[in-house]
Amino acid sequence: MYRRPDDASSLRVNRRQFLARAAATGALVALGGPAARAIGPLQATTVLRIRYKGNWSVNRGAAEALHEELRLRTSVAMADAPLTVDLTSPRMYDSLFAILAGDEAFTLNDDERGALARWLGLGGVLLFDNAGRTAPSDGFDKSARRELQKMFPQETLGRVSPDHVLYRTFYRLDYPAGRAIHKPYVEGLSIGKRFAAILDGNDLTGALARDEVGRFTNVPTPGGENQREMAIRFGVNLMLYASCLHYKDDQVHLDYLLHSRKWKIRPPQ
Amino acid sequence: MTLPLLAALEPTTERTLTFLGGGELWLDVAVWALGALVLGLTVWNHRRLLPVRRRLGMIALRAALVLTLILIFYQPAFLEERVAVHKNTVVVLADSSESMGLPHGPTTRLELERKLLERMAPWLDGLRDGHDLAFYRFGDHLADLPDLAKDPDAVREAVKAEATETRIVDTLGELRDRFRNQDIGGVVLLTDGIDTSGAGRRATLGLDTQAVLRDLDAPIYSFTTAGDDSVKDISVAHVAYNNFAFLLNATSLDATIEVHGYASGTIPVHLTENGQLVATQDVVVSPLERDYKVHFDFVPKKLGKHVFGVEAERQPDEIYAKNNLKQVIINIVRDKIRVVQIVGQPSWDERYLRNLLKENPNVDLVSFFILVNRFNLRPLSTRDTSLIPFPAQELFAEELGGFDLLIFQNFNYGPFQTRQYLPFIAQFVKDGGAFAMVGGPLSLSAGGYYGTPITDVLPVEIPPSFGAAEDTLDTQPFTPVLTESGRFHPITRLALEPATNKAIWNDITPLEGQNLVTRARQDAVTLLEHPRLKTADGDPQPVVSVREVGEGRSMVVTTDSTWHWAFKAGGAGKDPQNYESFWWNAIRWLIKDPELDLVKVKVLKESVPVGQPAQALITVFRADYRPAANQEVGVVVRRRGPGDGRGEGEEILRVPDAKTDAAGELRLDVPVDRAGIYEVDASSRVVTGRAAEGMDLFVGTDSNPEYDRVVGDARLLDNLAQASQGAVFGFDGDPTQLQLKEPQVIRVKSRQHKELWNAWWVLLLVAGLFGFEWWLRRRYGYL
Repeated sequence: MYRRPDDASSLRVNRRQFLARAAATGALVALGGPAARAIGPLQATTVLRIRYKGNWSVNRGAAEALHEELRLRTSVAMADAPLTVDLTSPRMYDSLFAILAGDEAFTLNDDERGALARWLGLGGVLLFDNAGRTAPSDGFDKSARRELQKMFPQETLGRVSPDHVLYRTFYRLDYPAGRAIHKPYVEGLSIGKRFAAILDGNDLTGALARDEVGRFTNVPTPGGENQREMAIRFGVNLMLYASCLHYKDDQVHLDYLLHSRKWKIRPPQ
Repeated sequence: MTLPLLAALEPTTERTLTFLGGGELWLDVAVWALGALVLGLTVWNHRRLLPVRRRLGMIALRAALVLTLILIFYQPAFLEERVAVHKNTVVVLADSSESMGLPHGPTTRLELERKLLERMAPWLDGLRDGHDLAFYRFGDHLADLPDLAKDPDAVREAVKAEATETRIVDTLGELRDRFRNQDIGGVVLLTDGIDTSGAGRRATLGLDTQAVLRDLDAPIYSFTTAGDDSVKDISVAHVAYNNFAFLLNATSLDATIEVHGYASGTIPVHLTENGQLVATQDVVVSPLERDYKVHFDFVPKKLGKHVFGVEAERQPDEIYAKNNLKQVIINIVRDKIRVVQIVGQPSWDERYLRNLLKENPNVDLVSFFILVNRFNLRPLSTRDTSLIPFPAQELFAEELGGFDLLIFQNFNYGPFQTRQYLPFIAQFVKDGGAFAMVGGPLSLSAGGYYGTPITDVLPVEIPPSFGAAEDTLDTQPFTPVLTESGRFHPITRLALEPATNKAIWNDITPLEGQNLVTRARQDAVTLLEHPRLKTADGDPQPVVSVREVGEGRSMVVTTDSTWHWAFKAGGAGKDPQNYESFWWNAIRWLIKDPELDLVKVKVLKESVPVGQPAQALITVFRADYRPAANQEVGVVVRRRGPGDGRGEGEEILRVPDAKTDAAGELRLDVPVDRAGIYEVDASSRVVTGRAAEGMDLFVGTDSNPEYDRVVGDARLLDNLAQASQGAVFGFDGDPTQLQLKEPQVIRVKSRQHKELWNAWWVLLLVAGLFGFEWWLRRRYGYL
């Protein structure tokens, strides 16, 4: 269960603020109807947790936390629990969003690499989350880059611009927070017009990791619970990117956000 | 067809002096040196011989002897050849098109032409020694004429102004075919210079024409009235346009106006659409110009075929007024498919459909996804999120008519206070819009649509339950089954070959979850059905059903798992393109892509002359797109008046009970007895409860192409003359100036040398010279 952060004072609202926000939100989005459900287990949205030869299970409970936050914050019909899968498993095709987390070097075999390349090519979005403790793991970082290079030799990882729709698919964000903030950016590898792989160096799953009773196991630094909230929001945005892609780049959204909200974002080129 | 007789002259013998002797250069030099030495010695020996007359006589005698011997050294001979020289043909082409009847000063072009032929007759007759003669008249094709010199009256009778077209270049091509591999000495062309084919409007000769001239290999001499400025006429000579334009997008049309005989002034030129004035431009006429370009920009506002006319206002004393108007048919089509996609919750199904629509540059997509719902417990602030209001009022009440297709994808209207807009959506469909409802836990009965106006336009009836319940949803996986109708319907046609299509559907990736419906509507067509689940009537639950509603169309897909056909199929090594094919087929059918009309009408010619029938082909399909054999078809033909739209105008033909043949086709001849815009409407009840309709337009025209331009264009004749080394003259030109090709084909029948040097008289000559010299020497006492 979600535990209210002790130091999340900025997120606390008094009754007056709550009513004002609720009224505004209600007017804006006209809150949806029945709780989001799915007709069939495969139609529920699932986060895939990739199992590979290496420390894949670092930051346990993070995927579950992301599931819960998505269910609590968005209309996405989330499955009851994330799915842990091998790269060569047919169940990879139960979802288009996956997290491959780790804090050490790893190597995929040819079958795994081929399966992952096909999954990405058909539409999947994969987050490589570098869970290095004091700094991003050099071994994990190099491994992720090497594997992507082998899978897509024509493509290169590049910094995702702060103006990219990834930072406003649901929440408006300025940077990708995680348990740490080693880098103020993530890198992405494009297939066509979408990012298929995103390399995060801030240990996003570390900010979401929980123990068996639901307590967060790490304290985000340096921002504490505020930073955790920002990390959760980035996780939500990642999932919304996987399911809606550039929806928030549509003209109707840009017009409203630029003019009614006075946002200072650059329209996509 | 008769061909001129290619007779050869009587064979003759040609004799040429040649030398068989001689040899190497040194031998020639030696012989000539020896001769010179002999002559030199002769002069030396006779230097004191007197009198001088006797000395010169002796030297001359010796010189003659030496030259004779040298001549013998070269062995002179006559080359005798028997040769036959064939004549080539001079072709006379006389224009006998209608425009030759137009006046030219006090007479007519035809009379000028006849007089020229009479004047030419003696000259042509004089050519017979070296040329054959061939006489033709031409209009739209080549026809024989009698021999002018032998029967001038018959020629005069035969050359009339009667052909309805003039095809000068085509006539030359026909001439080339008749005289292939034969020599033509020249082409004498008598015409007013009006070529009614496309070649007549070209500034330069086309490649085909150049090839014809190369093959003819003969000079073309034209006698013409082209450029005659004695007539007064204004014509719309040409309209350049695209036969399709995009709705609400500016397009243009260019017209060429030819003005003859009007020195100065302003001529208004109008652009009309279905007889209604769209724009007017004033053409300022100057004496130095003949052709004027008029450019019209306009914005088409209605879909379908429309007749656009360019008309120059009639001026006083015009020789022919019907060439002031030219009409063309332009098909107005969508530039983009405008689609609204409204999604109740983000999902992989939504992701794939949006991506499909967004990636296509021909789709103008507006998406609205509901990203939060009332069960979300985390507080949200507009400051922190990118959520925007759902513009129900603008979308459903104000802008919906501007879209072609509305998609409700797993969307429930309830929480958005949009129930009042649902009648607008139903009306949108009845008025011609397309609507697709895609299943999911927020769709159909689960979305609370039972009893709403939207159900009136759906192809299925839904149960009254609300929300996710056993009688609204089934969560089990299944493989949909292609119905018999689905085998032929374009939506489920994933391969052209029916057997291949069936195999694809048999192997299609399974789906999961189903919105349950009560039954498919009677006038709906179910294309895919559930393999196990049944409706209230015991029929299989529809998975994909379509329906024609009023002027519009609707579709229901009772599952939110068609993304399996792309992503899961690809993962399983199957073809992920089936997803795209299915949805694009569906969208094309929903927006009534004309290619998918159930009744198609096609008039074979866009412009039909009055008096000739227009041929219409009507093709009818059943709702599942099988050919509708022996299907009753109602056909109505109308002639529209100015400003009339579809279905308006004077009815000129009604065939209420025609029947298609086994291929679902009906051919019909439409009488055209007056000029105007004709509309052919066909309707057939291939869909229960309503008639499917098709329509096509054509223009019935009484404008004579011969009079589209009443003054010939000298450019064509100049170009022909320049390319063939010919020339252009007026009808008063002198034919004797023509430089015809000499006959060139010479065949040697025999050849022999007749030697001169070994003849008896040569020996006698040499002996005589020697003897005479000997006699003189004796007489003068030199021996």
